[in-house]
Amino acid sequence: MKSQKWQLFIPFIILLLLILVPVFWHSPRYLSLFNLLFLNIILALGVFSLWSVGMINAAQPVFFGLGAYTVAILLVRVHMPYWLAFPIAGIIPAAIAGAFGFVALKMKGAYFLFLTIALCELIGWIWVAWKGLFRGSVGFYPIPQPEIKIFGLKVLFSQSLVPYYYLALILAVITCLFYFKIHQSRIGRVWESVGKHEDLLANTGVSVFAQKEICFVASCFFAGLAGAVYAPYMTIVSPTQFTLWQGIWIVLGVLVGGIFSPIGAIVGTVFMAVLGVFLTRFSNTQPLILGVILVFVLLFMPSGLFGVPGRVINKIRDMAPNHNIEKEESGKRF
Amino acid sequence: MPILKIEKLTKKFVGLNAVTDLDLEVNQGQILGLIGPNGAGKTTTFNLISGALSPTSGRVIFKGKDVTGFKTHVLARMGLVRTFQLATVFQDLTVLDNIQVALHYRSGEGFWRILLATPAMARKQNARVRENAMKLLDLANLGQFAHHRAGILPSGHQKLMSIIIALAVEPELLLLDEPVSGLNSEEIDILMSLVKTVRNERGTGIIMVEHNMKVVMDTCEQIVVINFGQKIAEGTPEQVSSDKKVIEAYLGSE
Amino acid sequence: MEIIQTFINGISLSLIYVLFALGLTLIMGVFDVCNFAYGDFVMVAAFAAYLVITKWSLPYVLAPIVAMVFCSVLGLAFEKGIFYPMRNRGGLEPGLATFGASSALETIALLIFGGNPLGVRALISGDVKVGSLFFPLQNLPIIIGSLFMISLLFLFVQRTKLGLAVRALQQDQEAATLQGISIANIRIVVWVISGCLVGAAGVLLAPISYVDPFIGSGLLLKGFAVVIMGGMGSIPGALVCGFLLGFVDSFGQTYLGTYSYLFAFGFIMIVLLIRPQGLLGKGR
Repeated sequence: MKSQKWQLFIPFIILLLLILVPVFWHSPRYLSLFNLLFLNIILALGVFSLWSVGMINAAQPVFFGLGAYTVAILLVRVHMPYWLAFPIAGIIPAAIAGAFGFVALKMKGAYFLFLTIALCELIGWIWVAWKGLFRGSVGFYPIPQPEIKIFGLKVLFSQSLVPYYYLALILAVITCLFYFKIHQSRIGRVWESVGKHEDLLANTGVSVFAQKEICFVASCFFAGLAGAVYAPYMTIVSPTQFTLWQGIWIVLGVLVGGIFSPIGAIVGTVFMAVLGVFLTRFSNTQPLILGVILVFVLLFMPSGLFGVPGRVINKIRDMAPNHNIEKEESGKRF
Repeated sequence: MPILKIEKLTKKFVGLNAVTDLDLEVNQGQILGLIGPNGAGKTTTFNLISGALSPTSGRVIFKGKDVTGFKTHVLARMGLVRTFQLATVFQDLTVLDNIQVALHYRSGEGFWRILLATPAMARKQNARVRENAMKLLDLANLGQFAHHRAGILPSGHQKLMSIIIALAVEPELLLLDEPVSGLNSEEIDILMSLVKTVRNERGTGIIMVEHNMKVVMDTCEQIVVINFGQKIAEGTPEQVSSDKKVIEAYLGSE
Repeated sequence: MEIIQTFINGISLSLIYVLFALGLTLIMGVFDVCNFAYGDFVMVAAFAAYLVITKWSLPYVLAPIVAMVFCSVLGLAFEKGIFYPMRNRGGLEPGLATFGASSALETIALLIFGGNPLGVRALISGDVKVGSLFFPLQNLPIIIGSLFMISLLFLFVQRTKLGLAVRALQQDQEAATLQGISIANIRIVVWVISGCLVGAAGVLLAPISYVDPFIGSGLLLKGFAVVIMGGMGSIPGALVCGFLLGFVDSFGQTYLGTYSYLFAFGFIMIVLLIRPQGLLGKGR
């Protein structure tokens, strides 16, 4: 009992600190970094989740971009209010993911990865070629700022980055809650079994394909919502913002952090963000360095940074988080 | 009406006829043995029945319904469950989680129910599934290992678990793929008595692929012998063990 | 008439796709891994052609030999560094590793040769005109060369002991060793053969395309499409679908312009929807 409360304490502290950040750091540069970090964490959680069912999605930026474009089109062309466009920006990428997944998720993991790469290229090309809808390589600029009122006071999105910080933070927290809840529950165990023991699982009556589809659609829904925050925040939406390369970064982040739990995805993404800042001076050789890191991690640390302790803890994990067990392992859960 | 009926089941691969015109019937509560030399097509037959492979021709009729070509999970939901020789359990999950996952479909709680459950509801849901899982584990005396990772259990326990997993799905027909391979005689006794309990209490029909002749002769009421994908003999254990063709098939292949 | 001209235009590219797809399907069939760096093998071969023919002005015939050696050695490096150590880890992790290797290779090429497209002259130049059809003579070495390599491959796979062992390895690990050759050696042979195939593809491609560090990725996408459509590991499948996609591409370019991308992608998705194991793949 005591150890369970201790476990909740740490994330609570982190959350508190994050809420207080803008109070002490007004600098737009720092706020930007955090913003992008929160959005990347949302994307990474989706990729992690799909990884647990055995599929690697390198096209997460594409669904992110679809969400951003949806908001851009709805705000600029249709003059829809932001609070209405926001959920639609999640639904449209989710629907496209559903259609794409209907064909792609029936393939083996490596084939699926290839198809996501192809999808990246295809949609990137569509954004440029379909000028009527997406305005080509120029994209959408400027994007109207959201008009939201809290307790009668208008939130000043146009004047500072702070509202965006909190918007991104709130979305990231909601996404974290979603994924932590799912992956700690029986669904999480079922999904892991989809990834590792498909045939055995199918024999218990579980439709493996349906589980993959649910997981994929959910991850792209959140990616789309993240895009909906991204679009007015950047005030510009164009095809070059959503590349396969970013998709690989996200995948790398999830891998490095450890593919055993959502925390790994978060830690890995933070790690990659730090690495990214560090590597900006090596932009020429960035692919080389990342490629080497990727091979190195896969060869020698396939469980990722967070993987080794995670593996140990997962061994003694129980599926009913609230049940009181008198064994010593009870408090340690992931 | 037999619980399972196979009519002229055939599977051809390029350059290889794996199974040819196989006919087979299993009744409720009956234990049928499917035996034959290595490579005779027994596992392929199981794959065909359980939906892992689709037949080139022929029909599979389960509970009176034509289920040819149905997918594995659909068949499992109808009560047709299969165990595997090697992939017996979910290696990386705890023993308890193994059964809870197996109970997932039968629990009726899908994605949305679990996602939107309040902590109180979740506690109730989890307690119920956990109780059912522990009851099942206790049938094989495995409750004590509930929180161990399934992969570290000795193979005898894992094989027992695979029966429990199948049981959790409420099978009306059980396909056992070499259930006692690698077990010592004590473990074999425990496992086979569990299988018989399942048959006695649920009326489950059972088809067993096995190489251990003693077990086959002792447990099966009916035996089908196949070689090169074709049925060469069928009958009671006494009939089959004195059948010339069967003896030849086994001697010839050694 | 235009149709026939489109056909002629498509032949060379189709043959190169076929060579590439054959090498790829061989690797994917045996190792069950997507090799995302395979396009860069072509790039290496093309750069080898550049070095031999343009930079060092050596006899043309050395180009294919050097390219094949480079690609085989590179393949063996992949085997030693990635595929063999990770052979028990499923298909996903080695695949990701090859992706990293691909980025690394492309960046190294970029650092050595720079980003500007380089040229390699063709063996024979000029056109032959038959009626109103143009037949570029540079296609001739491509057609002869690739048909030669394809026949060699078929002979090898159907007639030699080693070839049978390779085919057996695709289906069953145990059966392959019945020929008396160790699995590790068969794997090496597979890399050498596919290295030769992709080396040839690169050398044949260099004169009709340009040579820069990134030519691999476009080819890789199409190559994978061919292998998936034809059925992973299926040599006839790669053959048929290589031609198919080459011609679809050619027709697409001629009649649909830039929409050919969409057309090819849609075509692939429809094929996979109807037959998830590929046109000629083994499956359920």
